[in-house]
Amino acid sequence: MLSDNPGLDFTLSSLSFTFQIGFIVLAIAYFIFALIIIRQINLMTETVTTEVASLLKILSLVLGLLSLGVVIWFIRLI
Amino acid sequence: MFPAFLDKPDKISFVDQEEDEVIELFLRRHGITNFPWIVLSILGLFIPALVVFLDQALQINFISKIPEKLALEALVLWYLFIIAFVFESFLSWYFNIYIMTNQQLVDINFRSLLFRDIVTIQYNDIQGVTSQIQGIIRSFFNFGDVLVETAAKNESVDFNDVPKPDQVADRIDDLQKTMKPNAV
Repeated sequence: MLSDNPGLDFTLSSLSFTFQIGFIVLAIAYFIFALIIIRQINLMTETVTTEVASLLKILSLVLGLLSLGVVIWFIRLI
Repeated sequence: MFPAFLDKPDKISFVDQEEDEVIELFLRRHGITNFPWIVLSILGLFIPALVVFLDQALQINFISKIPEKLALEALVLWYLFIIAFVFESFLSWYFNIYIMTNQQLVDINFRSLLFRDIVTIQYNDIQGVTSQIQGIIRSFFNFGDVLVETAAKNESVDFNDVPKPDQVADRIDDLQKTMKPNAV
């Protein structure tokens, strides 16, 4: 990735860093979205009790943990 | 596992259900209405591969210039986005429910992740029930809308894309007659 032009290298690394920060922001937004899903599934399963309510709760928790893992992973990649 | 038409389900209950209230019909939009988002999601899975293929085929070679870490992060975010889309679409279908009990009609709407509303209609308030099936796909899979006109607020409530709309309308009609035995 490194070129003979130091100015170009600096621009590329700055751009790369900016994108990484942007991706972390998106991952955090996704984590918030996952928390909203967990809350909403709890609310809806209280509203209507069905056979797969517990499965949906587990899936939403998995999604929440996954998104949290992605946030941590993205931060460590910097 | 995810039926759209349940006749007298015994393992389902809803909030504010009375002790002597029995669910006669439990409805969702027909399963085939999920087809567009399922197809979109499957196509979405292949978008990254398609981008790489086009990049190489057209000799743009842009992907190879992107740092590996960045490309990996973008890929992970893309698949997270697809998971979110699938989850939201499924929940929107799964939790938009129409319940017909022996006492009332209940319309539970999951409009977005932040909004839920429940509309109940007493049989005494129903002025008229009509069902309609429009289009080839709806006719083929036998699903459509049931329009319930209410007297109380002079407005209608729609059961959209439910399976067997004629049967649903008949059941509402029957239950209404049961509640109002003197009705003509």
